[in-house]
Amino acid sequence: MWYWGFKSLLSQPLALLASVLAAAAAFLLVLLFEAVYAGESRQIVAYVENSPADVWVMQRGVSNMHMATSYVSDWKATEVARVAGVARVDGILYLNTVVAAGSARWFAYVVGLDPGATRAGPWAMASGRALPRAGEAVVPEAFAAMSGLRLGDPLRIADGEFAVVGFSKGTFSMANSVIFVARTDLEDLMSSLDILSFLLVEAESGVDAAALAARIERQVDKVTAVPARQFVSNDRRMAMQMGVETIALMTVIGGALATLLVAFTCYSLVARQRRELAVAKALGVRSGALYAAVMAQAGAVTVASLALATLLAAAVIPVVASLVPQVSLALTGQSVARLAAAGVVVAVLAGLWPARQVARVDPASVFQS
Amino acid sequence: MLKLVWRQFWLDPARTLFTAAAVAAVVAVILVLEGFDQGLLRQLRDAVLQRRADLIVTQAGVSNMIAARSILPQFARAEVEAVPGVAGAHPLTGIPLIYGSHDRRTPIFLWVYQTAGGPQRLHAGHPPTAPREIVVDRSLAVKHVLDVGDPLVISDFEFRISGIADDAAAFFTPFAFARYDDLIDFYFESDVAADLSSFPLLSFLLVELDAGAAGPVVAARIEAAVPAGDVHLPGDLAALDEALGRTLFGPIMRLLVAVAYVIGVLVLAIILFAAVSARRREHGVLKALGFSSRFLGGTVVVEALLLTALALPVGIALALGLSRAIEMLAPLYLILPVEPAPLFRTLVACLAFSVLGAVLPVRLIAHVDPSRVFGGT
Repeated sequence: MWYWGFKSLLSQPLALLASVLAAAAAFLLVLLFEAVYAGESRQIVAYVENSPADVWVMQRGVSNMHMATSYVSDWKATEVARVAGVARVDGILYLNTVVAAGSARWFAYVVGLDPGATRAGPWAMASGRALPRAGEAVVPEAFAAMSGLRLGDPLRIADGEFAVVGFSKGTFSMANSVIFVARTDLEDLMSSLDILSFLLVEAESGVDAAALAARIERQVDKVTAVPARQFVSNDRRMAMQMGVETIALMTVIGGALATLLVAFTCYSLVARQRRELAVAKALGVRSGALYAAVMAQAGAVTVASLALATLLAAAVIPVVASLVPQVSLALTGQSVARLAAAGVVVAVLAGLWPARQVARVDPASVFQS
Repeated sequence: MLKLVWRQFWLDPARTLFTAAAVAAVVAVILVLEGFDQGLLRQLRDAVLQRRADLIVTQAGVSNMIAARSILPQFARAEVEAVPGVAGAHPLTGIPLIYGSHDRRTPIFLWVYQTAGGPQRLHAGHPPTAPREIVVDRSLAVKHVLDVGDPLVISDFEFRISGIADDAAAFFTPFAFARYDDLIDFYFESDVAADLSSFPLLSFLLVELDAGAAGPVVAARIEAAVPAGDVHLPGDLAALDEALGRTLFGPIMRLLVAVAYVIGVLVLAIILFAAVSARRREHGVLKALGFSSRFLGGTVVVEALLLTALALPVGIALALGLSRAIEMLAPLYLILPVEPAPLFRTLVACLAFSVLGAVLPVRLIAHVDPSRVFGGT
């Protein structure tokens, strides 16, 4: 019966192709939704991940950067620098706000840098200067392309106007594009003096980051010190947690749609092969074997759809990234694995109704027409 | 033609039901995605309008309320209140923070208020009145299993939940509401700096006008008197926040809706293809009896349109049900699946893709050879 199952599946290749395409599109919807979250989560940690700090120090009770507010008195940077095992400390001031260039507006993280704080600045440049001086800003090249910005053009942050002196790479996303300005400028914008948001600590060679973080927390009052790896993981986990419900819901909706489509395909096949099924039953083939054949058909359509959806996603994502640079997409093995697990449920559910139809086929009906 | 199509529907009611359900599901998915987009924008708009001000003063150069950081000098309040036509200027501060419990972290937006701008719709409890009381959006309460009376620790500062608010979220972020006295304690207890004036204490001023005072006139007076601030009509500021939301979320939502439309076309195509394929013999007979391919193709298009028309109300009902279910499970999201413009767009698009989906089956009919019907193939 397995052979019959696959032969009948392939008897109408166009119909099969349309079914696989439709179910694949439903799965693709789920994959794209997940890709948006994965891409954004990757970008959310881009700054933290690319900054060469071993330990991050911040306000007590804060343990990540994305969407967080942290204030640390700037003299604490000196205290941290005195802790044994600390090679260097760079402080940044940070503000999430809306920036404007011409008529384009975008949500951005503005990082205020001290002169010479090259390690806290952009990690890759497309053009121009990486470290802004007073009255200057470094913006993501994707934002520049979107808003038509050229080097030397003005950029507005609140009531401050900045001249764009550099375009950075890898710093753009929907949730947190990173713009760099001089710390003194950001202090003016925030009407805040003598404070920092985060301290980027470089450990001396051979010093363990976790041990150093613990030592900083012991010796410097009311700060949180987090090893860089954990800091990145905190931000990434929080970003993904923000999307957990929507991803789950989209998986259920897309999965339900795919179930319906695969079930429809199998149901159509069963309806078309009713005579053959009746003959098979009349010849003594057991219902169990027929159910298994129908389930195998549902499984085959689901597997083909999943594979096609994954291929389509892999092909579509780079195209979308180049056409719509403001969307960060990333296809991860995890999301494909999760969808494959959902596919098993889809295949089983999709096979149930057609299997019921098979059970109802009367072997005597073959002699009636 | 219509009669023929109708009879075909009744030949196999289970199949018709199945196909209508599939089309309805596609309609529902499109409407839910459109509704998701509409909900995001509505939340952004409501976040401004729910502050219930006649005018809103922001930091000069800041023209958004959500997502933008506005910092006004503290003396701005007295300057605004001195302007003729102003009955009062209520301070409001917005601070993005992270709330974490049991290894789960959620970004929240803390609104600190004194006399206006607090939570509008309470699901349970009461607004903050006693020290350290806080109201949180229901989405945060559901996600972290919080209730009225529970402690809420943010940046090592312990609040106590006095109320749970409905519809208090925007930008994927639940809101919380606390009083100014607690903000001062929050800063002191966190020991963030020796000089409290270094920290943002005032983001916006919610201006209440004297009875009969004209908003635009008073706005111009405030602009002249307070150079550190910009004045906005709430509707204008809400529109700017909505426009920002459209810029940020628009490309992603359009991409997902486009995929949903592609699914719609394919679903219609497979349904009709399967239906036409199953009726190949009948079509052969009809052709042999003199019915033209054009007529039979027309029946397929009518079948597609009728099927879609029948499925649309079911799809709308399904979308409404799905939206309510999503909002119950994840109250952070507001889903508005039947907003007039997207609903109309979806209905027209669905009818269009039902015709598009009929293209392949119509081609199949054109290739049916009447003579083969009598040959038994």
